[in-house]
Amino acid sequence: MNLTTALLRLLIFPGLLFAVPAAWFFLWAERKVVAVMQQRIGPPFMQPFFDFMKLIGKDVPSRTGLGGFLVRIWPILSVAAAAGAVGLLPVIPHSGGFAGDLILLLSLLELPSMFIIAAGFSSRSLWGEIGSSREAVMSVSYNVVFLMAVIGIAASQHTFELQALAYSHGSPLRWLGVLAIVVCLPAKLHINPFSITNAEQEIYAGPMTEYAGPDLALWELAHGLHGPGRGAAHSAGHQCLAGGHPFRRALIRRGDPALRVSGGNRAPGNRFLGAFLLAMRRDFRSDWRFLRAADEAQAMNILNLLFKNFISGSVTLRFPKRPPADLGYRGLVRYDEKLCTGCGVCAYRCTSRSIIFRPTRTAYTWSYDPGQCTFCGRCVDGCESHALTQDAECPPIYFKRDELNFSQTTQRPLPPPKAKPPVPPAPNVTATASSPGDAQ
Amino acid sequence: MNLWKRLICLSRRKSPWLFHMNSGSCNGCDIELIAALTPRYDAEQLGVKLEASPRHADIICITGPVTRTAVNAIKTVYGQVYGPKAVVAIGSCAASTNAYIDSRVLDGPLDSHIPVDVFVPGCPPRPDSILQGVAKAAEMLSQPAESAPLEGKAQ
Repeated sequence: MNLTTALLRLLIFPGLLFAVPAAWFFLWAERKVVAVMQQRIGPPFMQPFFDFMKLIGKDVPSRTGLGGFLVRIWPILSVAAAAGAVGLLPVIPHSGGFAGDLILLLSLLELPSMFIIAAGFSSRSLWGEIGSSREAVMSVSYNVVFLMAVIGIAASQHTFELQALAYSHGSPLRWLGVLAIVVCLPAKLHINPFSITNAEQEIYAGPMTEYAGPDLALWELAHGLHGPGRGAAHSAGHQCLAGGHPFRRALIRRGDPALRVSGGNRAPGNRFLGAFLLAMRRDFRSDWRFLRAADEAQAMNILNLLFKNFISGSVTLRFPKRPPADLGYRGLVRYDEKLCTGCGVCAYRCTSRSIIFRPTRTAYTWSYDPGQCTFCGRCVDGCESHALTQDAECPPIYFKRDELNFSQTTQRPLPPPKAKPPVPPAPNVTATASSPGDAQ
Repeated sequence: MNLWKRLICLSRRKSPWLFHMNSGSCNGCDIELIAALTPRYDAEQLGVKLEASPRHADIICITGPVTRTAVNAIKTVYGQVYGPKAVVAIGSCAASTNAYIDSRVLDGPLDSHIPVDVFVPGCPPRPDSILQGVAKAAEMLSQPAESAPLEGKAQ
């Protein structure tokens, strides 16, 4: 492999230029699969690209000095290492490679983990430091198993060359190695239950807590590049059980002569996968037909549930669509000034001073502040003249504090013209004189 | 506005990342915000992600009448989010302190401390209302007027 080919592989295929869209695709697939398992729609196809562009366009935090330089350099190095690892993959048959490139690949795959540890400590955040130390512990823990598995596979084939390993015949030891790699994979990708590094419940975003804007975009990209990068570890184990490199997959399907030699080796794996899927499917069918109380334990089987969710489609409402409000939903209060008698009981009963009632001699003002309203309905219950009603739909969102306020002044009906008070009878002087008091 | 800036504005609309903050809420609105992420409403179809660190967020969702102890935390978190950013006040409490209006442990509604862009009324608001509010806030972020300071900084 001369310099030009090496550069071409690093920068164009399968390196940076092709690996970046592949990374975005991996990020999308990671989120989409989880969404489908939960019967959601999940993110749109272009989501990781939009995330990346948005982060690029965010304001840049001012980082100065050596500390700032270090904080900025780690994500760049991380992307470079991951892209380099992808560039090493033997996706083009007979395209070269050199003795011992497996060791280089393993170290390149391990570098981003080191950079994450360094990044957490250089960002000077408490949560970052905790996350970094956890990452260090986890890295030591899984790498013992992971490296033993990969080196065991390589030793059984007597070569450290990726190409030779990828197209070699298998040995029983290989299956053990593949098993170990599959177990280590979630730990390497920080997926549950190995997410102690970025455990959101405890330490916010772990080493990434202080990162923002373009730096964070690079970290996301590096995480995405890991996906194809892990395909490398798998192609070393030859069986791509959980997401091999997409390009390599395509080559297998096209029947590359170099792969046809080992075509017989793939059959047992496929048979195993088929039997597994068939078994799950049979379970699922029996559930579907005889779902009753006695079968509940089986219905709660998480694998069945995931599989059922996988094929049954999403239950999500597409965004602008909203579910209808329930019967008797209590929304905005509406006021009918024709029915109002001006008693003011609504303001008296209001729990949150949303309704204010200002009476004067000749008029009264009824004002309502929906932003203040609890939507409890006490005003409507208390209104004896049925002047208040409530909408049966959600109150609309608004943008200014007093935007929805409502106020109405009603003149009090003029009182009926007063009848003249009856003229009191003229005082009877004689009767007064003959009162019992005088007699005494 | 050239293509690059238009692309970035589009991305801002397509990828709102939330930071959720409780300023003394009764947890009603918080539960509804989580309900907006569930399969029925699925906020992720809008590109929404609930972020753990305010540094990563674009939109701050604040619930609750603002208690005295929460005021400083709100101001700190608002400062920690890098622009362009938007604030969504979820529930009547955040908009106006709601039924706790007379309480002496409160320090005013939210908009007396930080600028609020969208109010989502309700006690608690329905998850679809919250989604509408977040979508509206994301649309505000994508307005070219919002990115004007960014252009000014570049010059």
